[in-house]
Amino acid sequence: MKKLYYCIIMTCITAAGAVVVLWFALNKGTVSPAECRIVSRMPAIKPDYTETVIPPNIAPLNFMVLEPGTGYLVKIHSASGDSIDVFSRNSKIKIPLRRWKSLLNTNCGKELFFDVYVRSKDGFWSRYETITNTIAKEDIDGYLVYRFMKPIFNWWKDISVYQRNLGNYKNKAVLRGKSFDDGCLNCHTFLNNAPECMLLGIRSTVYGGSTLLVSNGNKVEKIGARWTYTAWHPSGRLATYSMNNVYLFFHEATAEVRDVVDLDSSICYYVVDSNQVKTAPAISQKNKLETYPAWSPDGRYLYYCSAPILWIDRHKVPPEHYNEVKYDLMRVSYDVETDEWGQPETVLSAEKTGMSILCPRISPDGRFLVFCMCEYGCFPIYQSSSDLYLMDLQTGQHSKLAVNSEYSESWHSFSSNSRWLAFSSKRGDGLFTRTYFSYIDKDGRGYKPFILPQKDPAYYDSLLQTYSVPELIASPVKASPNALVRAVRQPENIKVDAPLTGATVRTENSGPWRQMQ
Amino acid sequence: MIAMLPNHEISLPNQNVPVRRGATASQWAGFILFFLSVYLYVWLFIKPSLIYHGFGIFLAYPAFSLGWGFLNSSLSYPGGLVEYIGGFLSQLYYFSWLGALVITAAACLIYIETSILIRLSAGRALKLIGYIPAVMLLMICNHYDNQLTAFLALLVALWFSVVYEKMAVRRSVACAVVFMVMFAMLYYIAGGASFVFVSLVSIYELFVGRRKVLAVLFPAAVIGTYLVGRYVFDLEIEIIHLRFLGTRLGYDLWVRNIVICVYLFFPLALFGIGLRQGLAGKKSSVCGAEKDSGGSSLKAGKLRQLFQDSKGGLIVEAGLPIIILLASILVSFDGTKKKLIQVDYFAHQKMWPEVLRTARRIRSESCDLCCIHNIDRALYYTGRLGDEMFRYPQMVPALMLTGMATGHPVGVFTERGLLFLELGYLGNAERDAFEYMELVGSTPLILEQLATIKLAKGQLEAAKVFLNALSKDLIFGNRAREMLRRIEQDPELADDERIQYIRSVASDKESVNLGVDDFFHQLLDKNSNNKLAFEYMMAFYLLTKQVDKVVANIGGFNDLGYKKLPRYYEEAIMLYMAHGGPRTDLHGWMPRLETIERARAAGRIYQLCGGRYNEKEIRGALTSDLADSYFLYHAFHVLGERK
Repeated sequence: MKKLYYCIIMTCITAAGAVVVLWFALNKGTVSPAECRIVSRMPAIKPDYTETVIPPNIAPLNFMVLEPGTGYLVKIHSASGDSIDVFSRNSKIKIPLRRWKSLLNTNCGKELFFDVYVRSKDGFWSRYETITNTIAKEDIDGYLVYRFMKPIFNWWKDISVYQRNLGNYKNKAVLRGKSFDDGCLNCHTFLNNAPECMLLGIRSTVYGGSTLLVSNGNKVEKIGARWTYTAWHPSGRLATYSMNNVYLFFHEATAEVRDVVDLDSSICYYVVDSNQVKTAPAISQKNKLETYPAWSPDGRYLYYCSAPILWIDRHKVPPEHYNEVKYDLMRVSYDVETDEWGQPETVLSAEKTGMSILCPRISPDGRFLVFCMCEYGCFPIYQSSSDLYLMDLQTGQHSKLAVNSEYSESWHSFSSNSRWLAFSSKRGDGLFTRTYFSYIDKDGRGYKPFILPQKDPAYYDSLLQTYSVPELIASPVKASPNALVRAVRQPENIKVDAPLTGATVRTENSGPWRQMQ
Repeated sequence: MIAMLPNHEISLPNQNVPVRRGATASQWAGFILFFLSVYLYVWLFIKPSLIYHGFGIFLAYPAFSLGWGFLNSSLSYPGGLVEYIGGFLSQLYYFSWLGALVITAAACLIYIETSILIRLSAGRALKLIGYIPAVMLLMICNHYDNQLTAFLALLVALWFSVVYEKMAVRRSVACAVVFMVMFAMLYYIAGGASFVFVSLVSIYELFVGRRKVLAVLFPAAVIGTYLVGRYVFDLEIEIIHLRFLGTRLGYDLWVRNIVICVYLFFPLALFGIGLRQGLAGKKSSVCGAEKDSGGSSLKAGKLRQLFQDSKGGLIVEAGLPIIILLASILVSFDGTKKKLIQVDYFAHQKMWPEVLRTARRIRSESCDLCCIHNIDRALYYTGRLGDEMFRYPQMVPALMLTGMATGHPVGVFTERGLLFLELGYLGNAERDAFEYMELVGSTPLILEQLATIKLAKGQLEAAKVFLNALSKDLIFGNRAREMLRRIEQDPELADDERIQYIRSVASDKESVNLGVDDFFHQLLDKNSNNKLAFEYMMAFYLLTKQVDKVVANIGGFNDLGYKKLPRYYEEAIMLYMAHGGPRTDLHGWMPRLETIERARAAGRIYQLCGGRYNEKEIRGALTSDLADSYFLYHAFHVLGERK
């Protein structure tokens, strides 16, 4: 009797399995080109992976086809190698990783095509115009380190720094604020796109404000001061940083409510060997706001931004004329052997451009300098007018990159081969910053950017977190989150005297309730 | 499962206890009566929909979202699975009948598990003890709190304990292996609640299994987990051990203590039983069998006789649980909290008369700022702000929930954001909404609010992100999808009255850090028909006793088409005149005769008191029609309802 039951059950399971297999086989997306209706336009896809240049080592660009249909087939092919057919009953196209890698690796420098077919309700297939992208010859650095958080105002609870493997979708926490009592994590800086030397600013009500210094890959030390914007000297012998008296305040009727002003700022530098903090008159003038240090790859020049202080009252927020502050792009020579600074010189003046010049970053080959320009102030991420510009350091000429949108573009980072630029943009919705990549060719021309690909192509549609401060590095951060947390919790190893706190001050009393209180 | 229900002592190993059919019926009656009462009480009186409303405002928000993403993230940490299920079941509170079913089922399961565990440890059933943790769950509901996740974690831990004890593995090594496997599984499923399992099986091994080595070794797992969590994963102790006890608790100390008591109840109860059994065993071995059947067993026999007697058994076993239930309600029901949540609930539902009706039942000293804030909104929307606001408790910060972001329940951010949204002050509405989202989480309420703000600002793509996130909500998902569909059809949302209204009043003049006067005037400059802004401005002047500004803006009532000047503004005019304010244009408004009479009466009291607070005189005034007048508020800061 038992045997009979067993047989019946096994037969039922086998039959069910056969039905499922048959159903899948019959519904498989096989399309004969002769049967297709031709649609003389490209299909709408999201994210926009069309007519862009992509690195050969990037993860599959999964996307959604925004055309109504009951079945979707995408044929991905290039000049050589096997094409990839992806069939989906919903609009999400998820490309197999290995075949994608193989296709891209065999077609570096060639075009990549997406042939999109959509099956309508009546069962007929439509073929849209082929989507064409270009596979660059040059790889992008393998990892992206970024800050992940909701759009925060005064209060924060969950800020983390993650590293994403750009060759697949693996994401790993470098450090989570939740690990040290909901602490705040700020800018992370690497030496020459390598993770061996890293600086990471942290702020915690329990453990105080400090900077974590990672050296030799996994040695972590805590510096007893929180630095704001930091740049390693290419030799690794010193790190230059700005100390900013940052204030957050709020607008009423602008699309972006938040705004930031530096009431005061100056640049200092930390000498690694001697654990000394120093500054020089050239980079810390009393009547000027100096910020955003960036070294030339040869280490001979420090580029930075500088603006005159337009207010007398250094406590009022926002100060008078805050929206007239415009930063110049400056540079000053430095000799690392003798520790001598030269005289500051203006590279590009705000007077000439009519805009505030911020966030200079120089390509590792030393050829290009990319910076932001916005209407005023020191914080481009909150300025929808912020765009990326490129200056050819050989000619001194600058021009607006063709990667910009009507929303804010900022916080860019070069890959170690100087061909890729990662940057933050709010182009998707005007609110949430996402990371985009753009190819910069040898002549300094920027190509149409594409968003950091995700496994789920609808990922960004409901993502309430922002990606900020994208930094490209060649290999993953070796220091473990535990080692970093331990360092945060312990007393500082390196004590430094800092003239400014560098902490963003909450302005909860601003607004009409200030008087009521 | 049915076999585990109240008559489970039928299968007792103690063969001396006779099978009692009559007693079983009374236990069944008690069981059914108790849980039916619990269900009806929770459904009709507690109303879980009020607890649902309190999520993220009065209580911690039990996060839950449809889709694999949220499930995957929940499965990535110990206790995440229980948290996921707890979050899901908590969503069902939206429907009171369903929420009551969830709570009753949890109470019922905990009763059954308690009974089984006690039977396994004591060798006999002590049924009434089983009702204690169930009642504790009810006591938490009586405080309008939600600790479902903590209880679910406990339920799983108890279930694992039952399984372990039922398995009755004989060899110690096998037992240790079984324990380690079960503990690891449980720690992953239920987080910190797994330590209840550790304590229960240790007690079991100590007293029933008589394997002292295991009883000592098992708690070492706790230390092991701590060491691994602390030194390998660098976790905080709270995260390692107290995931549900420490982090999920709300603001209520009472509730926190109840949860801790429930968690401690099982180890303590079973330890007590084990100790008693152990002592009884020793005693019997020393004194011999004759003494065992002496005095104490005579008393026990009488007690058993009472239970076995069908009438007595029915009364005791069916009545006692109900008495326990009633006693727990008497001890723990928090009527004030219920009313405060009701006020907020009605305000969110725009049921303004109900807001005021409920608020009248709350003692003024129990009214918190949010409650007063909602009262003022209800008064405005029922057209009674200028006539009745001083009949209710008032505080200046409550009008716009100002200057209180620190040290106050974060629910304030939603309430204030909602008011700013209605006023047309979108920048601050957005700021409050984001502050709330960071601190509390992506609650459906805040996602909808942010989507509305973004739609009103014309930032459709940003609004879609919030609506897409909201579409994953179990309760409000449909509403979000419907809104997304409407946006696709009509991006301008021309038919959406609310959005159009907000756009019509929203300030488009750029400003930073406005003072109160500028704030209101900017809104009125944008749209002089912004009645809410005007009335709140005037209410603010009344509250801050700036009668000169009330008089200076009195012309606004003409612009807004008021047929009658609200009472408090007439009284403010009288005060202005009494204080010898310079002559000013009253735009045709003159205080009515009865207002003048009231002013005279108030003046007399003021003189009698010599301008100072005088309890006797003020109490007298409160019995007259001056009770809820602006005069008393202005002079003595006294509020009250006219008798």
